Amino acid sequence: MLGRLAIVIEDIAALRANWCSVRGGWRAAWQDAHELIEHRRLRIDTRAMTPDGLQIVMRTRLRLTGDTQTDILRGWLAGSTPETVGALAEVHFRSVAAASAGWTALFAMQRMLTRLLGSVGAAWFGIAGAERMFTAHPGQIIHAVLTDPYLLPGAGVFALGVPIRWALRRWLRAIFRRGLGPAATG
Amino acid sequence: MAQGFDLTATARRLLSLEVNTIVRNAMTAEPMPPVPHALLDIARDYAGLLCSLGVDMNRVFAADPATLPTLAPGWVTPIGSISDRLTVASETFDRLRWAAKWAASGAAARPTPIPPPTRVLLDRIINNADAIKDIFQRFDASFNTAFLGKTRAQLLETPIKAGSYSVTPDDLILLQKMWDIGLEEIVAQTVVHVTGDVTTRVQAALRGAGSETLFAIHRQSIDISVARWKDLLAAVSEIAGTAIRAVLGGKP
Repeated sequence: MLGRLAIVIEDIAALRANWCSVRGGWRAAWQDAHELIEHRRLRIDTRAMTPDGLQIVMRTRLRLTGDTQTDILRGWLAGSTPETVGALAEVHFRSVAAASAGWTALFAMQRMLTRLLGSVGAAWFGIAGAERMFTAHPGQIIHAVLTDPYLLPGAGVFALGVPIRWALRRWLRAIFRRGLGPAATG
Repeated sequence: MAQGFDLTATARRLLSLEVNTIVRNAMTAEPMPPVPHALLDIARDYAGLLCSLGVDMNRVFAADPATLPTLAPGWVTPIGSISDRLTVASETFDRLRWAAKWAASGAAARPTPIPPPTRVLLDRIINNADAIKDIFQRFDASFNTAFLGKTRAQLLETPIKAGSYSVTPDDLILLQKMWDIGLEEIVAQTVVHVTGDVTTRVQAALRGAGSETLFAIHRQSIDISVARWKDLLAAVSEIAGTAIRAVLGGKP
């Protein structure tokens, strides 16, 4: 129980820490999470003006395997001052941090909600159930617990966390599986 | 399409992080095509490099597969593309592998020496061709029936329908990385192991003055990667479920 609460507190902290730097709100966070799951990587591009026009000059791929690949356009790198490259790199990596913060916040939110339901339900059921056990006749404890109208919502909230978590995981796996098909390989 | 999937290899790969910084001549926004086309893209790039170095690729592709380990194709004036001889087959990558192996070991006999960055690319061709040959063994019957042995021209005549074949996520992630990196020179690479070991390789040309900007970019890339490590473990665990959490050392 305490362990569960500790995890919920950890998720709240992760949510707070990451939400501050998320770009574009929940919609963008969901798009980033969706891209990471479906394409197994998150790709962040930064464009800049080059002699050939506006082009992608920096690209970072964060892969599900933990690998990170940053590509830099040779022509732009050679033709720009170190200050210009440094300044754009700062902007680029802020975008990378913001994009990765989005899905982190989303996963933390999903974990937190389902665990919070379980913890609140367990606490409700436990406290109300203990009170009932102490006041009921020893021979009628089980009957008293099962028929108490104050206990049933607690049990319901506790039970709700499990199917919601299961359904969300099934959903994530379905997105991931869809990304394995020929239509959405890249 | 596969109804289940195994992410064990992906989870194991998360026990170390690889951070690559690449300087490219061009960048496009196109995503990786379906696997048969991606395989031919990779083979085309590898064959293109071997041809440009002057390896007699016509001889490599005319040889009996059994003789490839002992074949000495020889150096010729660089020829154009041999794309029409490349097929979606393990044998294509076997030929590329042995040609690269011969080029790397026969570099001394070449009229002009092969520069060290190109020798690194030859090693990459050998390693990746071996990995792709392994991947071919795991393709399912539907993939083999529909695409095995086909050239690009034949593939273009074959409509690739959604769900018409199955590739494991681990293989797909590996292929995607090979396709993304291609034969671009990695100017700086850092590998961070879960044990705390950190290895950084830097291209010789970048050890001089003026590379500070590039190293600053590489460092920022490492920072992002390390900062998101734990979150990626959580994401993979969330997708894959209890079996992977056991691999990652967490509570199933």
